Formats: sequence, C-alpha cells, structure tokens
Amino acid sequence: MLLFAGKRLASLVLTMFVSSIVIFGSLYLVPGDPAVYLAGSDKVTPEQLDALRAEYNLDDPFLTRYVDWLGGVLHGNFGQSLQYKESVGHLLAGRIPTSGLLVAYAGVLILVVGLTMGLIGALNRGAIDRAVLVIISATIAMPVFVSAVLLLTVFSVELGWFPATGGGAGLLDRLWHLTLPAIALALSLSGAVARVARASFVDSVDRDHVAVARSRGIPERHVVRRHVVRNALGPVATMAGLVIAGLIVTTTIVETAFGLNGIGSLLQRSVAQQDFPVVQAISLVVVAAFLVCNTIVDLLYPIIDPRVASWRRPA
Amino acid sequence: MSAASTTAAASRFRLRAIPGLAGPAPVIVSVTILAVVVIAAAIAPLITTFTPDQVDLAATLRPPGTAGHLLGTDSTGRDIFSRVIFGARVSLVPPLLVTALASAIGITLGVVCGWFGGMVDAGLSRVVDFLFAFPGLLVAMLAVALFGRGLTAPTVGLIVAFTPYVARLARNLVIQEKSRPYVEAYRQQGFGNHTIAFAKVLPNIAPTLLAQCALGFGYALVDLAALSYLGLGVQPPTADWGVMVAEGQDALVQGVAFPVLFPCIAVLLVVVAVNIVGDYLGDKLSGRVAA
Amino acid sequence: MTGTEALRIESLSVDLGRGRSGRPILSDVSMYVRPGETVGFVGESGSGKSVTTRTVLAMLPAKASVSGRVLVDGVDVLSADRRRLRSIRSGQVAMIFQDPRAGINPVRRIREYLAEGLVASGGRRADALARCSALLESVGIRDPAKVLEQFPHQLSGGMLQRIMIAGALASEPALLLADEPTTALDVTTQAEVVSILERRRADAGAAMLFVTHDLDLAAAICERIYVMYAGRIVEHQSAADLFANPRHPYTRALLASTPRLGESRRIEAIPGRPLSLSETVAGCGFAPRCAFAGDLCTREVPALRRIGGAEVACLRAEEVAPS
Repeated sequence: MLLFAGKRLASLVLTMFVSSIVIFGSLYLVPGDPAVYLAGSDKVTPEQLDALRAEYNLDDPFLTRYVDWLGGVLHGNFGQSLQYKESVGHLLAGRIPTSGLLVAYAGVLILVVGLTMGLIGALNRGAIDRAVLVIISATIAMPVFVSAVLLLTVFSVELGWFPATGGGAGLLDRLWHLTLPAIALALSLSGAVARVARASFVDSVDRDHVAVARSRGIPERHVVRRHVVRNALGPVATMAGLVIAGLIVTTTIVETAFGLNGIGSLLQRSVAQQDFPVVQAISLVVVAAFLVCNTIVDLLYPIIDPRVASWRRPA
Repeated sequence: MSAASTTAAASRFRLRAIPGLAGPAPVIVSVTILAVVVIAAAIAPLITTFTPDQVDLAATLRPPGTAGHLLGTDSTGRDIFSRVIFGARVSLVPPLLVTALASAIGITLGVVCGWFGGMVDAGLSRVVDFLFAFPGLLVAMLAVALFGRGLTAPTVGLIVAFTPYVARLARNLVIQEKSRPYVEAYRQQGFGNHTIAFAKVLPNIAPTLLAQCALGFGYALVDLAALSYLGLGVQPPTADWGVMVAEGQDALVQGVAFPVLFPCIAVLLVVVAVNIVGDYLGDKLSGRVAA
Repeated sequence: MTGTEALRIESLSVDLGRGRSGRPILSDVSMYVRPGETVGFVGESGSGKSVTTRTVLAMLPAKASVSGRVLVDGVDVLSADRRRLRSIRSGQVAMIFQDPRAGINPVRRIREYLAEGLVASGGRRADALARCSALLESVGIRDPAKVLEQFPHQLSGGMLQRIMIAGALASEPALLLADEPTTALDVTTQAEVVSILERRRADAGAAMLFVTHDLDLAAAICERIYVMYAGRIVEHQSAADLFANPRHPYTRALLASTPRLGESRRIEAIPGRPLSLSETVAGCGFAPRCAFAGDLCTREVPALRRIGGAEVACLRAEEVAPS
C-alpha cells in the first residue's frame, strides 16, 4: 500500500518535471529571436532587445535558464508579466480565490447533478431512464460557451435574476455572482459524469449481492447507498477526476463569458497578448492540477475497490 | 501516469456520447442535417442574398424575417443567415483537418506500437501517457500564445492534443486483433509483416476507429469554436460560429438574443448529429467491443 | 391448519406475460413446511424452484403477474405492505443463496455484512458488532477476529457460504430457504457446508426448504420432498417413500439417471431436454420425454392427486408404479 502510494507520488513528480521542461521549452519552438517574441512586436530598438535578453538571461545556455526558472518557480517566483509589468505570482494570487471558488462550486454541482441523474436513470428503468438518457446526451453535446451564453440570455437578460458580469465582494455575493458560471460548467460537463455513473449504477443494481441485501430486509435507502452506489464508485471517481481536473482550463470560457476576474480570464488575455511568462505559469498550474487530481483518484482506488489493491501497480 | 488513469483518459474519447439515441430514426435525421449543412456551406454564395461581411448600419439588429433577412441582422447590420452559412465553412473545415491529421498520425503510431511492441511501444506509450496531462484546450492556447491568433496555431495544437487518444485506441485494437487466428493464417500463407498489419488488420479495426473519429470531430469543432469565441482563433470580421456568438454577446447585453442564438443552434445541431452518427457507427460497424 | 405452518403456498402461479414466455413459469404450485421440519425441493435447473423460493420473500421477476397466496406463519407475503415485508425478510425468513461469492458485497468487510443483517433485524449497531465473532465461531470458523476484517475476495467459497449461513441464522428465523447452497462450491467442501447448515438449523429449531437438483442430498437431510417439473409440482411424498417407490415417471427417471456407489446397473439419461420457457405444451409437460406417455397425456394436464401416502401429478401413475 505504502509502496503503491510512493510509486504514484514519484510518477507524479517525474511527470510534473517533464511537463515543466516542455512548457518552458515550447518558447523555443517559435522561429526567430525569443527576445523579439517577448517584446511582442518587431518595432523595438536594439537597446530594448538587449534589456530583455538581460532580464530573461537569454544569452545563457538553455539548461542554465531552465534551472534558474525552475528554481524560481519552486520558490513561488514565476517571473514578470510582460503585459502588466507585475510579478506573475502576484497576478495569480489575486485571482486564485475567484477561480478556486468557481471550480469548487462547479465541481460540487457536477458531482451532485451527475450522480443524481445517473442514479435516477439506473433505478427507474423505462420511460424515466430514457428521459435521463436524452438529457445526458443533450448536455454532453452542449459546448460550455453555448451553455454560458444561453444562461446569460435567459437568467440575466430576460429574467434579470442573476448578474451578467463581475465577481462580487464578500463570500455570499461572490457565490451569487458565481452561480450562473458554475451552472454553465455543470450544464455542459455533468453529462459525462452522469453517463458513466448511470452505466456503473446499472451494472451494480443487477448484481446478486443487491438482491441478497434486499432479501435480508435491509432498508432500501441502505441498499442503494451501501450496495448500489458504493460498488459503482470506481468508474465514477475516475471520470469525476478527469472532469474536475479539466475544469481549470474550461473556466477560461465561462470567466470570459461572465466577465469574471480569475485565472481563466487571465489566461485568455495573456494568450491574446502573447504574455508568455503568465501563460507558462498558468499552464503549469493546469497540468499540475490535472496530475494531482488523477493521483488522488488513483490513491483512492484501493479504498473504493479493495479487490484492486492486490494487483494494481503504477505503470 | 498510472494505467488506470490513462485508460480512463483514453476511454473518454471511446465511450459512446449518445447512450439512448442510437436507433435508425435519429441517425437518418442526423445524416440529413449534416448533409444539408455541408451542401449549404459548399454552395453558400448561391443560396445567400448578402455577403457575410456586408455591413449595413441603417439596418442593425433587425428581427428574423424582415426584408430578406431570414434570420435577421446583427449589431452592424450584417445578414445573420449568410454569416451562419458562410460560417459553416470556417467552422467545419478546420475540425475536419484536425480529425484527419490526428487520425492519420495517431493510427500510424498506434498500429506501429501495437504491432511491433517492445521498445518502440514502451517509448511511444510513455510519450502518449504524458500528453494526456495536457487538455486539448490548453495545448491549443499554448500554441496561440506562441504563434499568434488565427486558425493555424489552434488547429496544430489540437492535432497534437488529439493524436494520443487515437494512437492509444489504435494500439489497443491492434494488440487485440493480433491474437486472432486469421493473422496467423496470413502469416502461414507467407504475407509480410507490414502487409498484414496495414492491409489486413487495419481494415478490420477501421470501423471502430472511424466511429471515434466522428466523436473526435465533435470535440475539435467545439474546442475550435470556443477558441474563436475567446477571440483566440478565427478573427473578426470573418464569419465563424464561435466569433458570431462572441459578437452577439454585445447585443445580448442590450436585450437582443437572436444574433447569439442562431450560431449556438448551428453548433448544437452539428455536434448532436455528429455524436449520434458516431455512436451508430461504433455500434453497428465495429460489431465487437474494443478493450 | 393455516397458521400452524412455517410456510404454506397455495395455488401459486407466476406469469411473465406475453412475449416474454410461452407459458407461466409457475402453475398452481402448492406446498407447506411445518415448523422445525426440513423439506426438500427438487428439480432440474429452470424448473421454477428458485422462482418459487424467491416468491416466499416477495422477490418477483419484474412485471410478473402473480396469483395465489404465500403464507409465512399465516401472513400473506404477496399482499404484505413494505414494513411488514421488511420485518418478514429481516426476522422470520432467511435465505441462503447459491453463489456466496456473488451474494456477498465484494467491497465491504465480512463484519459489515454480518452486522448489517443484525441491525436490520432490530439490533443495535454496537451489539451487532460484538456478536459477529460468535456468529462466525458457530459455523466453525477458527479465526473470527481476522476473518471479520477481511474482504470476500480473500476468502474461499466454502468459507463465504459458512458466513452466509451464519448471517442467515443470526436473526433466529423460523424458516430458512436454502437455494442450492452447495452447487457453487468445491465437491470437497460441499459435505462440510451441508453438515454445518443442518447442525445450525437444528440448533436454531428453524424449518427449512432445501432447494437442490440432487435427489440423494435431499433424501439425506429432508423429511419430505417436492419434485418440480416445468413450473408444476409433479410429486410429493416422504423422502424414504420417494426413494423406495417413486411414482412419477420424471422422479423415476431422475433416480435412474443418478450413478450410485455399489450398484452395477446402467445409468439412464432422461431422453430429450427440459421444456424451455418459450415452449407451450398441451397436456403434461413431461409427456414429450416420457416412456409411459399415452394419447391422453398430450391433451390433458394431470392434476396432483393422492395415491397412498403420496401426491402425484400423472394420469398413468398407477401403471407407472403399481403399489
């Protein structure tokens, strides 16, 4: 068990390390002088280019620069934003609360809606299940930007129930402002969780041990919770891990649509302005979040399904 | 990454997208919708009365149906119908390119890995596992950050991001297929390694791959439209569904919804139709379940 | 009479409806089990034994239409409300299933399996947890503390079936339903599990309906035996008489098809195959495979009638076994 956890964590660190090389090195895929790219335009004086070269140590060998950069990242120093002339770490820190809250909010909605839909479908085969399947199909096909715009149309513009833009102040007001964006994410992404959950629940409802539990007079709510849901959690956890990990990138779309000032909208602006130090830092955060989510699911797996612990090992 | 999380990641592209709607009637409707969209895009100049970027500041935000504007006009007086039809070209061709190239590269890599195994497989599988940590949208945005806005960078980015999924699927299918008796039979008849792999095995796994391509096309369409919506892909004033949604959002704040709704409907129709067809192909053509 | 029996089934018929089966899966099944008595229930797979047994716990196939009555201690389970049904399931009747590996939740510990049943039958959780270890000892498990913390995949099939027996008898039920409890086990552990089951049942004083396709096993532990073919009871008599003088051609054929030690006679397979659910027959369901069948057998459904101490559903029973 400990060995398993150790190997998973080692694999996480290794993948993270390789990812950082790729993200850092991608700058050198751009043809031409990196200094010109960083300046963001061709119309710069040689002096300005020299200053950039000095600031980013562009004359050092690649490895030296990478090690310097990585050392800085490990100390929380992601460099300077070209666009804002501000430290990237500082830029991120100001926006993490909004995005973090949004991801958590949407994550909870996605899990609750996905599991509920899956369970309703699996426990009510027939007309209700068919209806659930159609809803699942519709949400799977729904792009995030479409659900964001549709929600804006209906609830902000037509009905005026929710604010159309801005992040709000104070926790309650913030949650209020984040409700539509979170629903937009859940509308498009809960279908993937619901689909896997339904299939997994259907599989476990038909198992003999569920009939046995019922034959022993165990209350139905316990049968559903301990024997149907409990046994179906494995695939659900894997899918939920993937979807929630992906949320951090997907927030880019809703934060832009709803005018929220978070990591996602910062990524959008930095990509548009080719503000590479910021893009680099956010990419690292996204990949790290993805890997951490997957690792958590992997580490939870032996607890979710004890049969797995004995044969499963990290690749 | 661990075996379980990567197979889960790979299966995201393999799992059917439309669990309940794979019957023949929805499939016929879907194929019809796709055919109509493709033909309309191809003959766009013949069926539209306005050019897509013909501004008319005297006729802004006209509601659908007025004065020859079937779907109304947007906030600069451009005909929404022409923009949706011409937009189909810009919105559909790049995802097609992404699907075609990612499939070509991915299938080649996958067949080579699955068929030859050993070091090649181990090495490439490592790379593929690693790439799963980069979501398609992130790779596309990284590409835009490096090479600038427009269609080229995100298209290339998505090809890079989607290839691993195809490669993983093709590899698993080939490994499964390799153990079947007919492969040994071809060997006995003296067919060469490459001939069996590409001329005999590949056609057998093609239906499953094709079904996945259909679903992959849907993902590519949505991701590219999202990038255009974010202002990172297709640039205004070019008509593209994502761009139209972004531009329409200004009118939306003024309380006018239709400029945003029509491109949204276009995206939804195509994605739903493609998913239904993809699932149908996966069910009917492949016949057996891939591992 | 009613009310004194642990189980009484009166003209039970179960039909899946058109399109799903060609005939009712159970037709006019009647039987009884007295308190403390062990009754065998024998037939080929698919004959309807399991459906009958499950009906006692009101576990019916989806959308089945049911007629007749199933009385547990005088109460009809088919018309019982949810609460009543739950108390019957958790207290009065317990069932042991064929495959313990499928029947015990693979992701929960043995302790949870046992405690859950005890809590359902009205115990407090703390008491239940404390009783688990004694329950395991009662079925001959030597290291209960260790086994309680294990998961099903770490235990053998025989071990799991003992655990299921322990769990079934924990609530001191008046009636035990054993649905082929040894079929899924290794031959070597079958005898052991049966003897534990029989001993524990006798200790608890419970009545038992023992479902099996093995006539010899049924004869060894049961007082009376019901034989079922194609959803109908075809014969019913005491275990000793059934062996000495089987009256239904199907029972005779079943006995003749079982190899026996120390006998040098031909083993005779029953010709043909059992009726499938989709097949409808006019007349006796066994007629197509029956050596004694006459014209009338293919036209008239034989009713269960009393001949001596036995009940037989055969038109030509007197010719088959002249007594």
